[in-house]
Amino acid sequence: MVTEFSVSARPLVEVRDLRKRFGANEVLNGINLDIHAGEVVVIVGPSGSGKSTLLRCFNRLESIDGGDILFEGRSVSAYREHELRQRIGMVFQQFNLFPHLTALDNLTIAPRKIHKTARAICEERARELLARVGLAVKAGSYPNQLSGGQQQRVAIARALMMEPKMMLFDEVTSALDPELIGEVLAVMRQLADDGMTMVVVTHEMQFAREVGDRVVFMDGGQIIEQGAPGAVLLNPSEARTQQFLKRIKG
Amino acid sequence: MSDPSGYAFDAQAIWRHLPELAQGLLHTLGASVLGIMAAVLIGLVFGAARAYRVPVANQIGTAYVALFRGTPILVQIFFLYYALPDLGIRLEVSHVAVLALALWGGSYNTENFRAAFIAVPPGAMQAASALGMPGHLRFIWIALPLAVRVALPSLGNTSISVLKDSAYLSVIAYAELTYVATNIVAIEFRVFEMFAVLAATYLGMVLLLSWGLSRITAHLARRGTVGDL
Repeated sequence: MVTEFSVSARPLVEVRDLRKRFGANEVLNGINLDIHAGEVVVIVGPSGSGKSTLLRCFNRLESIDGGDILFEGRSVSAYREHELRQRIGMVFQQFNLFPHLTALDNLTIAPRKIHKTARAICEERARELLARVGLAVKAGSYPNQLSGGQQQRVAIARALMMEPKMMLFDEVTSALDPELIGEVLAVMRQLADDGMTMVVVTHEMQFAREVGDRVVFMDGGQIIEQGAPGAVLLNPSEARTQQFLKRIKG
Repeated sequence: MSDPSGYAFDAQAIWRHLPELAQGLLHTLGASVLGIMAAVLIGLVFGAARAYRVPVANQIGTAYVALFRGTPILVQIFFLYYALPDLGIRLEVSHVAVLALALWGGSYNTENFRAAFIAVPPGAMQAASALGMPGHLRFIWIALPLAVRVALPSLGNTSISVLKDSAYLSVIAYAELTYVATNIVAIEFRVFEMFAVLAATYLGMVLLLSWGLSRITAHLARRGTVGDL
């Protein structure tokens, strides 16, 4: 993968001393992180380390208690909530498709109702995206007629419908049967190759190594270590990273 | 066919009174259909207000449910018909009829819808948020269609009760089916014939309503349902 660095380019996302509490529990404890356009950042770490919470602060599904996140140079809190979320797509662990809508309607409902885009225009684009995730023939299927892997691919296509600048993936393969994980990762890999800016929380270390431009290791609400995937995952410098990697290798 | 007790079932009596009974049936249907529709609407509004804790509307909804679910419908009908005029609100008997059924059914439907909105999968709502759908669009296009699917069986039960309980409207001389039939009984003592007609007619209407509801449920179940998520 080619990563271009431009000296003048301002990061797409700048996380500055981010803090988040749930009651007395400090979940994020001063996070600093830059994400550049086109970059694939993979966040790993033990459960409860604050990875998902960090992701959910980007699109304001969680409120911020301290510090700030700048998106395109502007504080996320300065955006109107739904405008921010239209620029940042998100895919969830549990797919979260709309169970009463076909795959096609799952893709078109948001743009049709938010932007009042004509159904025909939305459906044309939706069919293109379904084809891109390999599900052109499933346009008329309801979620309960699709496998987990297919549902998650629909969910990715649904997020892409809004033409986001960045995509957040929150453990999107964790709820899948092992044999279905590959098809979802393949779609994500394709997306990375097309230049999408991606922040991926995952336990798939092979994906992190092969697709990630950078791996961030988090523990206890802090970034312990970050760098090129090879360095962090194969030759970590911090003891906590070493411990974690040893544990997940079993 | 003669009966040792001296009572002979006289089908002719039903036939003779058919025009009045048909008129009564129309009134029953009119009050019930309007009452059921209004009850669903009331339940939707207050059920959503309670589920989402909309200030003021939530409290009004809570008090309303407590009052109308906690008192007999007969008392409510009497109150609306005899007490409201004392408060300066004078309504025609047909309006009282629809209002009474709507308010009574609405209190049950408020609870039906409240439970249904709470049962909407939070993941679907969160996905809609993450797509940038503002609250009113999330409600109309995601929460509402899913809540209706969940609420349908209980809405059906309440609607059947509203239909049957329209018989109570006879106490304020609203000329619905039960009122007409009991009047005939009072004049001609055709007790068995009239109550047979009543039982058969209500049963027929309820079966028809149940059948319609099961058709709708089956239609929606062929598509995705909440339980499949």
